[in-house]
Amino acid sequence: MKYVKFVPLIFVMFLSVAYALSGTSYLNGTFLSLKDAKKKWGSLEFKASEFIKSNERQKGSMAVNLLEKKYYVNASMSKVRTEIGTPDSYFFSDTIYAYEITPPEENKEQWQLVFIPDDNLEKVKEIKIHKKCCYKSVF
Amino acid sequence: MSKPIFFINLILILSVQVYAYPDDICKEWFEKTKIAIGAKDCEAKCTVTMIDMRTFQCHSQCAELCSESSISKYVFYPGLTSKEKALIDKYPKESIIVFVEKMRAEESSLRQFPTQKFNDEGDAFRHYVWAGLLAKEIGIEMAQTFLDAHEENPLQPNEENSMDLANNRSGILGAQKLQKENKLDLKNLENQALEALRADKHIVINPGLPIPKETK
Repeated sequence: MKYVKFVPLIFVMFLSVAYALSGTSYLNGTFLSLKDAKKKWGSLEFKASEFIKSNERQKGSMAVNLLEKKYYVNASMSKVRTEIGTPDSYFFSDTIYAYEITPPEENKEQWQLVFIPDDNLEKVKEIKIHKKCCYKSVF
Repeated sequence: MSKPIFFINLILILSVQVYAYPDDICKEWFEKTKIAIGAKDCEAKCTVTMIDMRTFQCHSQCAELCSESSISKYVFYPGLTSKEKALIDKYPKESIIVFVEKMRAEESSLRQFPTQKFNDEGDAFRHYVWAGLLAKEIGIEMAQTFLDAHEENPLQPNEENSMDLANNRSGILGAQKLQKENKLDLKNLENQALEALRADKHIVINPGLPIPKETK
């Protein structure tokens, strides 16, 4: 019983290790690989000013091009917002910019393009295609 | 993994964590020095700052005290603000609760508003419920501290920031009201949030989502 006081500490450590092991999965998040995204939508030259007003297929193929060319990686987060526009979707935190690829519809597979910032929230660390519909708590 | 190996691993990790973690006296001493964490000259300034009999060991902990954060650097969570990182270091136990309640609020919001986008009713609902759940679990003052830290986002436009802060505040007030009636739980918070949305009491920049008549 004398070890009971260590339970919270062990729990913290367990979660920390779990987070670290989860790598880029962000707890239960599902992401589309570049290869699968290309198979799904193909690749079309990314045009920032046209992205938001494009249809799903065009958005998907532009997102593939963005990932291929690594546009915006290491660029400032504010550049993303200035060039693409105000985010129109949500992922994990307001500090992460999310743009829908698939329009939201109940019980339908939905994808979004997410820009994950670096530790200082200044530059784009990575860009991913996230499955919005299946983002659920593990707790 | 077998049990003994699991526990050996755990002990090793704990040892590293305990070894690397600065003690409370030094953290308090370091806070008073007002040296900026993460600054290039942080360690240099730290090692020449005056110590006394109580804090004589702190110079040897400057590297850890100057690193961006201690526990927070072991926590994998993208997009944390610097104030959130500092709170994770200061209140690790509460931080876990904050994270768990955030996930619950997000789940709840997606359940009520499956077609949600950004800055809409789903967004307002999520902030309200998260704030309410935090008030219930860690108290109003601590909840407000964590919520405010989350909104210290340098990239967020004022309009969006004001929306989030207002809906957080409403959530805390809503939780207070339910607490007085002894009815503070997720279901009642959800109902209250939907009622407030129907009565146009939340701040919503991009309204237009259908508001469910009952919680889902």
